[in-house]
Amino acid sequence: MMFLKDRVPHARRVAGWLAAALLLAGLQWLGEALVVFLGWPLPGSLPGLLMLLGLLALRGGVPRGLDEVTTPLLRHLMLFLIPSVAAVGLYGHLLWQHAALFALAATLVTAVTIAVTGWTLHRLMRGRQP
Amino acid sequence: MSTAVTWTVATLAAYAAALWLYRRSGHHLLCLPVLTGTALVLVALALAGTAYPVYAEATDLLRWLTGPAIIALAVPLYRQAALLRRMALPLLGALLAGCLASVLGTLLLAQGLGSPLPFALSIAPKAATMPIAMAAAERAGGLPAVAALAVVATGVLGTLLAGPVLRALRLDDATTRSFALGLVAHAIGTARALQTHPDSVAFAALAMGLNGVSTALVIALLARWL
Repeated sequence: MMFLKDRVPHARRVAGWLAAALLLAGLQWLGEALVVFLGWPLPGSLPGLLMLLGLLALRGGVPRGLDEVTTPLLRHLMLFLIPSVAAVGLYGHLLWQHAALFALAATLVTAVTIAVTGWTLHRLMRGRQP
Repeated sequence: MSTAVTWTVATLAAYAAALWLYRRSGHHLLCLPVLTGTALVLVALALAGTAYPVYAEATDLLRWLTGPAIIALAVPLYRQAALLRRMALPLLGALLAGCLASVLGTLLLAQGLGSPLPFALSIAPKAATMPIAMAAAERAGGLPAVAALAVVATGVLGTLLAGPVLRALRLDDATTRSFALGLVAHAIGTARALQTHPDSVAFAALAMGLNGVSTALVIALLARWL
């Protein structure tokens, strides 16, 4: 809708999307291979994220195709998570068994985290313009 | 093959319905599409008498897309990088302090309560954005679904607690509030910062991205040593 006045030929835009999709898939594959190779208990997409960050910094901007592919991917992230969250049905008893930890972590640890973050940022920013 | 199509379409339909409900409710926190969408899927699974492992295998493609979506987070993070360059020391200092407080605080609490390590490791990444928290928990030997619930609970409570806690400590300026919201309450807190402090929402977005990355790194390091 917002690209109606667009002058870039359609084929070039589609090529931009394809390139962006291939880049994301390639980084996912590379990141996965890297964590397996190094034996780190890290999700493979995380090195992928850092590599993309590095590529963007080297290039000095976000290519249009990448922007147009990542925007819907990020907007509907929750869709991709539903199949994994649905496993919660298997762990009902476990959650109930450790409800105290769950509740205290969500309240107490969260409040402490807010306090620690706020205090540290406030101290370190003293005398600086925000 | 046909089960894959059926359950992928069913999940898409559940998500569409959840998204509609979320918009109708005026973006109410308890109507987050991931919660209502999952509830609908669980109802459908129960009605169809389908076991979870069958459903999980059928929705392989949707689950795989989480990876590229995490990588895509580099784009918004890159757009906030100028902010980070200007105030690297205070922002990274606060990031490190907040990230460690959240992860170590949860693990210490778990040890105090005598909870098993896999469960503790599932809750420990709770301040990170959901896809990263779930992936980090899974790789560390935890349960991604439990991580997802801890992420939602922390996001909602962190958004509610940020104002009162910072006010009580007299730290309540817009920059601090936004950064703390993004760090502890990820996308939910960032959405709140956008409503209440639109001028400083970049701090929330930056804190969310940075804490996602650093939480995953800290959990991975700890999982190797514990």
